Amino acid sequence: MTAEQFKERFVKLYPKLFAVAMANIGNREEAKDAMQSLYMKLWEKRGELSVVDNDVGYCRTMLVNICRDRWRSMALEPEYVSTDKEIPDEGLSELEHDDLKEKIECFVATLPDRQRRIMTMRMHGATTDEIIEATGLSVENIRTILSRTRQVVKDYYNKINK
Amino acid sequence: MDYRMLIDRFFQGVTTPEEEQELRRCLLSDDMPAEIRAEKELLLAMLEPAEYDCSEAMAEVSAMVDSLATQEPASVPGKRTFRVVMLRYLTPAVAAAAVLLFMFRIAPGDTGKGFMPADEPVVRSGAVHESSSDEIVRLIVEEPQEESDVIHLPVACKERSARNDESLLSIVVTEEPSEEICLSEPELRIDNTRCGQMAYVGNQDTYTAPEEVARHIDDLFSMFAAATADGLNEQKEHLRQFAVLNEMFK
Repeated sequence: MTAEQFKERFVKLYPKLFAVAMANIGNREEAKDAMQSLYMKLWEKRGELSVVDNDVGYCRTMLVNICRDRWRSMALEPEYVSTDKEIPDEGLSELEHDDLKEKIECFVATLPDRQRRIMTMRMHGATTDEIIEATGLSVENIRTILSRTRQVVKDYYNKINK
Repeated sequence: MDYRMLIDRFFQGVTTPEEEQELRRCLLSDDMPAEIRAEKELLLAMLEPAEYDCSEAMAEVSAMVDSLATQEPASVPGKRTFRVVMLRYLTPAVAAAAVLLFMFRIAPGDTGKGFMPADEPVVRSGAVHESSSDEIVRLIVEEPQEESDVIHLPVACKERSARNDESLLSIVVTEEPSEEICLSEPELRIDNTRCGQMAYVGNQDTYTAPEEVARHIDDLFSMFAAATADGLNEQKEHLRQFAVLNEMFK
């Protein structure tokens, strides 16, 4: 398979696969890294891709495994759940975005890593089971994190809309 | 649907992705209930993923692929593996059927390249069995190989408790990994369906280093030589029989 053939066949799948990466890792930069790893692996395996008849499914499986490996390498303590979030007074004024969605996105970016990831994963359609599989957290922990994160975003929203 | 309750459940973290999609659909529709209108902006911000422009990242990946492609000359094959398979049979007649079946079962590859090109003999060289490790390495490394090629080395085998069976030893050269190219399945099918006398398929190991293949084959040859009454002479006789078979299939 030539580079051009490879690009024509697989690089065009990038947007669809990027959403999968976001649903499985919940962080834009790490999703990009995972995508790069995916394409490296695909290129290495290009000799056997001729027998693959479902490109998206094949790439998706490979990508999910890459994301799972990244979660494992983070070595997060599975039972630790950060639920406190002080809504920052300082710094809010720096968020000079007109668009509410952008403001909220910037605010979410300031949340603790795991809360931010899980919220992002859910926004990209990850089921609770998929989040459990990726993070190793319990269903109760995930619900607690989602609940607290959404509540803190709501508090922030109320605060900036006073 | 009670959207107020759905929103409460959303903030409790217990909604499913499907329920969240339903909530989003409702918020974007014209028939959105008035009592949730005030929360529309907030909820949509939490329900809809941000849109990412992937064009820059796609350009980076394309550049990476170009870079990888230029690092490897096109003529150099990918990482190859060598799978050593031993196919045994009992009589020349069964052997003929087995080899024919073997050809038909696995010859047509998905890529259009047969494992065994039709214009090449099944048994490639009658002298290979006497070759040293170096010679085997030369054969499988230096001779031009197709992506999926098969080299057959006829050998003789006599196990302690078995009859003086003949054997066909195959080295399969494939791109790595080679899940799709599995010789054991068609051989076992031969075993199960057509040739009840076929003994078994053994010694199926996969290597990435040619030297390991050569070592494995040397070990097998040593085992065969030790197990047969007349060692290499007996192998030569089998080679002669294989040569006859080979002529038949040309």
